[in-house]
Amino acid sequence: MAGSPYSRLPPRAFWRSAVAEADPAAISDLWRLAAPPARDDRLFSLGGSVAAALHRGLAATGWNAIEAEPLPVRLPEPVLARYGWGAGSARTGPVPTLRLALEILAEAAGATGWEACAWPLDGDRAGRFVDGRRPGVEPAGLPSAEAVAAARAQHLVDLARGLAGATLVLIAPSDTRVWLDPDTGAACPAPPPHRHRVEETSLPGLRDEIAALRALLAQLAPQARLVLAISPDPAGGAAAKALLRVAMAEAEEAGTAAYFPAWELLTNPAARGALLDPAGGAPSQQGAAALLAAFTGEAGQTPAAAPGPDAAGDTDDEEDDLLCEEALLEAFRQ
Amino acid sequence: MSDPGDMRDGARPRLLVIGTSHAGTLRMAEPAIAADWPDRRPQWYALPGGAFATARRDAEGYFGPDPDHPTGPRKAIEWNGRDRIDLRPHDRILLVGERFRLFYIAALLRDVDIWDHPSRGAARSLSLAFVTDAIRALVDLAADQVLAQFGPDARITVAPAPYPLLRAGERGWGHDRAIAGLRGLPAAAEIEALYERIIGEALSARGYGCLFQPDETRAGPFATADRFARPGPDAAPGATPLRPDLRHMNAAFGHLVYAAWMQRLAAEPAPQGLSAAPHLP
Repeated sequence: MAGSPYSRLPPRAFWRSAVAEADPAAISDLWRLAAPPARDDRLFSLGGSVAAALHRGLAATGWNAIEAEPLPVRLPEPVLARYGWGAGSARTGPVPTLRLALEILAEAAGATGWEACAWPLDGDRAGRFVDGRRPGVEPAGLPSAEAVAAARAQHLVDLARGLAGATLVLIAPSDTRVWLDPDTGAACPAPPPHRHRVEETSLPGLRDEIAALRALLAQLAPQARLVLAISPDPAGGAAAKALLRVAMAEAEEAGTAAYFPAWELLTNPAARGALLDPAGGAPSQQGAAALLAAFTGEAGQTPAAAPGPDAAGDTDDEEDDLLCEEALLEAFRQ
Repeated sequence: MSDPGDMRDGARPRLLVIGTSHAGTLRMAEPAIAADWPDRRPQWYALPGGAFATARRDAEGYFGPDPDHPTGPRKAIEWNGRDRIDLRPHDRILLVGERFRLFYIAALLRDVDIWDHPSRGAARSLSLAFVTDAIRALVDLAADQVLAQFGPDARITVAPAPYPLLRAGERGWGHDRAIAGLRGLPAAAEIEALYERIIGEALSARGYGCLFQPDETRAGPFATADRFARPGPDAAPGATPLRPDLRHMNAAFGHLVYAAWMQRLAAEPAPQGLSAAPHLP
């Protein structure tokens, strides 16, 4: 007698065995790529909290997470975070929408027209400006709109250079509502301070944006495969996540991009919210570890603490040590 | 911890100079110190930088290298005649040689401009806010290291390591590209003032005093005048000579630092039991 059509399916095919009875922080087999991430991949991350968590986790566990704007010295993590380092491969700040990701890549590829997107600050910072594309990366602002444009131009050169070597690009937006700078029409991650326009991107619009992203990446990162995910950041709510999910599923179906189910993993009811930070909806520490394990297929990786500056101070090379001893010897043999 | 005002033994405060190889600069000035301040001669204790970084004050009040350090205990005896020193009897302590991450900061700033300051045409710029926070974070690490080594102790005044010689920024043997780049900032003097203000604040917040190298030893931002160069080491016949020592200074420098310390002590409110202020030459 022929068995049930389900009888030969593996445990991953069933909700109970794959999800409900599994450790919510260690669900495996959620995604299967034709070409899964490998240790020799060069990974470029851009987006919301999922991209940030994965970028940090990958870098801390020895994966080749691209840092497009490296500093020549290691600095304590809180300082880096305050100025936009470490939350992705470049200092873009949060990228909550596909539109913003698309425009950033377009600018990196040479598109113009958004350079003047600089917002004046108020209060005791009056006279200073922030980059409307990434208002959080210089919280105290820069001394002029021209300085903001010059800083962004350098940022985009670095971003393009970093992207050029990528073999896997992860983009993880969270929202479909796009804040627009009224003067330049540039997509921004947050409402401009004085006046703004807002647009909801429809499903056809999202499809177009993914197709345009893919086309730009063919130019900017020709070796890279595109992986899309949804960040669980609260902005946009469930409706935005649903639209993004549909657009990304279609892209996967069409072979334009792969889909990494970060949002499903983090919001899985069996986790009872433990994978999300209750304060802001970003992945909790446990959630970040679960994301990393699911993304890499390597369970049990423990991100090392971010390396900080040498606690013992400026390190001497061997010759410096000799000079120090020489100096001491000369003084103390008197 | 001793009461810093508790100057026992009448008017003769017991002084200690302790630190890395830069303490040797003061030690070289000992004959001049003895001549100028015969009643203010210090005790000495120094270790090479690597061993010093592992040294700690123990629960009994002794300071010495980590017993497991490969060379620290041997070097301590070799240089000081003892493996550790009792900090308790000293009324004032001058801690010499902490670099406060100067070379990290130089590496960070050597090739950049700073927004808000004039440009030197660098390809990259950093904001002054970021630079300030980065310097503060690095200096805090160094100050925390001092705190971990010595604990809170109001008797301690920290004398940071001298800036490298002026010629460290010149092309040639021993050229230090990072230091040259740091000095090449159009507003290097402002950055030096910022750096020193942050060091002073960090030490004050941890209960220590701070004594920067005297003005007369300086030759511009982040530079010590070349006349204070330590005499070069003699290379053994046939041996490759060491690169020039651009970081350690000579006895004249040590004498000026000691004089500045004496001046600082003289300016302190007269502590109980101390009948005479330290003599200034």
